[in-house]
Amino acid sequence: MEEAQRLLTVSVWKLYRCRLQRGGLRLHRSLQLSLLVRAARHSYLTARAAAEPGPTAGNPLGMAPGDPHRGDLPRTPSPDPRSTRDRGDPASPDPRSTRDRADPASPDPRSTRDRADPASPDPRSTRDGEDPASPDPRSTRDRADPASPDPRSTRDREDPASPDPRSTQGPANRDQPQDSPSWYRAPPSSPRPPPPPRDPPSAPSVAPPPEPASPGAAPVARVGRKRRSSGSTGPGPVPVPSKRARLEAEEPPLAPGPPGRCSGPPAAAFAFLVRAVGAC
Amino acid sequence: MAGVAGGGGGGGSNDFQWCFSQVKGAIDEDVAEADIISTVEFNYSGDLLATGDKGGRVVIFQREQESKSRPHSRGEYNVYSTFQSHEPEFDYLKSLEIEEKINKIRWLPQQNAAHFLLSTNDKTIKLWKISERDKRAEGYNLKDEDGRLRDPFRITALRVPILKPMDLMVEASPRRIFANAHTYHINSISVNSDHETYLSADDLRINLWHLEITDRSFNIVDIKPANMEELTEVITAAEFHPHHCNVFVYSSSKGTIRLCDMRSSALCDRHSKFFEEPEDPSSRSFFSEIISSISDVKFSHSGRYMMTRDYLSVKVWDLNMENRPVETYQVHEYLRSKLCSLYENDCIFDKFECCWNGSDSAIMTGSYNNFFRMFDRSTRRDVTLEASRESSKPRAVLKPRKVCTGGKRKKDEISVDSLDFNKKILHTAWHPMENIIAVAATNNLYIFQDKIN
Repeated sequence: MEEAQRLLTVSVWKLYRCRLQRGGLRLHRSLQLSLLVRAARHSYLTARAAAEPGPTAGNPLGMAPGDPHRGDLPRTPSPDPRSTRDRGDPASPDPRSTRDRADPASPDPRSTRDRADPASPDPRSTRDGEDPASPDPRSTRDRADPASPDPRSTRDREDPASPDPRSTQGPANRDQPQDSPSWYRAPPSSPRPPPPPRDPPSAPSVAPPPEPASPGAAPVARVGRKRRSSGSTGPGPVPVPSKRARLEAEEPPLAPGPPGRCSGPPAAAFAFLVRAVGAC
Repeated sequence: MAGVAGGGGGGGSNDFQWCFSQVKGAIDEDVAEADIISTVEFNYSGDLLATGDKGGRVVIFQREQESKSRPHSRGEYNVYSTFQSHEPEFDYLKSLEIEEKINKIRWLPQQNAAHFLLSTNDKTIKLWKISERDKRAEGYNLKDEDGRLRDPFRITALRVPILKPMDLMVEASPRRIFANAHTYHINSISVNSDHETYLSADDLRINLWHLEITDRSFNIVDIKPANMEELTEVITAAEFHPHHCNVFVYSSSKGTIRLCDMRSSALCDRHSKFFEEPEDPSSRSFFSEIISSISDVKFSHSGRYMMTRDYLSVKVWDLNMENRPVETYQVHEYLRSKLCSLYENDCIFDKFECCWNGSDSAIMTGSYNNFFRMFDRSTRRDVTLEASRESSKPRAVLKPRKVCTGGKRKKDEISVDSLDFNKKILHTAWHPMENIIAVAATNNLYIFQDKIN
């Protein structure tokens, strides 16, 4: 469990540093890191669930009733990590976590055309149906309320209007959905004494989303931002709490420390990291 | 102690020793990032040796003619040409900087007096022509010797320009630029045996190009899933078969190799052969996925075998047997217990290359502490050698090195904890016909040759 905890901490920092290196995000490196993060997280949570007695013993994910994690996780645990991700599970790490936000520093290779220069002919321009003008339908979905079902599961393709003609079963889809990934098998570890509880017993619950605007109210004016052409006036846009605001609502933010180290009690910092990884 | 290699052109292994020949590069302790060598490649004849570095430069060394006064010493490699192949670029659409680092260099077969090579960075492939000029024309009618245009009214007679010898000048000029075809980072290029086409591979796609056509390419492999969350593996290397122009292989981050035949379909998403070795469940760990990733794949010169390099081992596969490799060589098994530390310092992500000798009887790959390993396939002997300045005396015989894995350390052995993981040999090349090897150690290029007893 300690090894998994340490690996998770190191891996998250590596994922963060990957975004800052020259040449952009490396897909291979990011994939390897994300696979290891998932394996370490699963190992950590499994070991923690096995170590903690009481109501969490029957829950393979190790969540106590008052655990602030609980609201972040799907209600029905599933062995297939992809099925939980399709329901918008913010707790499970996303191998593309750095590309799901509309961050120009970490562009989504799917959100733009596959050519660097739009003026020059793209040898592959007839094959990819990605439209850079249309927003990525997934970019705002990662902050969805985990309590509500995610309709994204029916919109898993990049551009629903023009599916990729080559999206057939390829080498990457060799693994059948029902097969659990190989890295889900936790490495053998010697039995350890149960660790002290890391999370405070009276941690605040997840902040509920703001009330939506009443129907018929005027749309909220957005100064300085382009108005999307919707073609109809309806209820005003509902502000979605940012990821940072949601995390801060759960626990006070920790002061940043040197890379690789967490300031404050290691237990509280690591729990913060686990939630941050799950929220990515 | 005998070294390991096969005979240059023929088979069999003779007892011989490796000797230091040359070292290229600065000796400064502070190594500039741009000077780090990122690829090494001999041309088809072995007379030219090209290196690419992280600064986007290509340096070509040419082998001098053998000297009759020193019959036991082969010709040395001296700088033939240096040019800036790639410059840093910026993708404004994606707000991405494109590194100028040369990922791969591949020579084209020589068809005339000029030499051609392909060099690539993360996004763009360029075809370079390297030609010699040792004569210049003098006596132009319309311009003076210094190049200034002459006044037409002062030209009263015509003369025929005369070619006069000049100092040899080597010119490198970009003849083709193949751009805008890769969304992800290019990791491999490979020239086809038809000498007309080549492939380029990035993390998720492989494109087929014609050397004369730059504005289009054919996508022959695409493993990008419809939902990127389902991505489980990426392409790590690809190469054409040395003789069959329709066959190529590509390796993946999951430790698998797929052989594809372009005759079966235009889009080679379905492989013809699938090479994978079952994983040993007893060695399963958090890092199993990472260390099983294949960093390099190379066909043998005969075309019957291929070799793959993962983090800890080199495997030789028979193309006729898919379920397991025919030979496995452990490069540095003593690092298996250090994987956690290697993960923390990012060394576990190092991509080592491997190469065959001319007769396919021996293979070579790099390791840490400036060590490189050679394996004789026929005798199953292996040797560890070091590329260091300390043993850089002319014709000095390289002493085999040994890593102490435990217990009492013997004299001349080095313990695992003493290895310098900043000194790594990722790129090596073997002369296609002789026992001459080029080893890139950070910013230095070492050249060793055999000394037959």
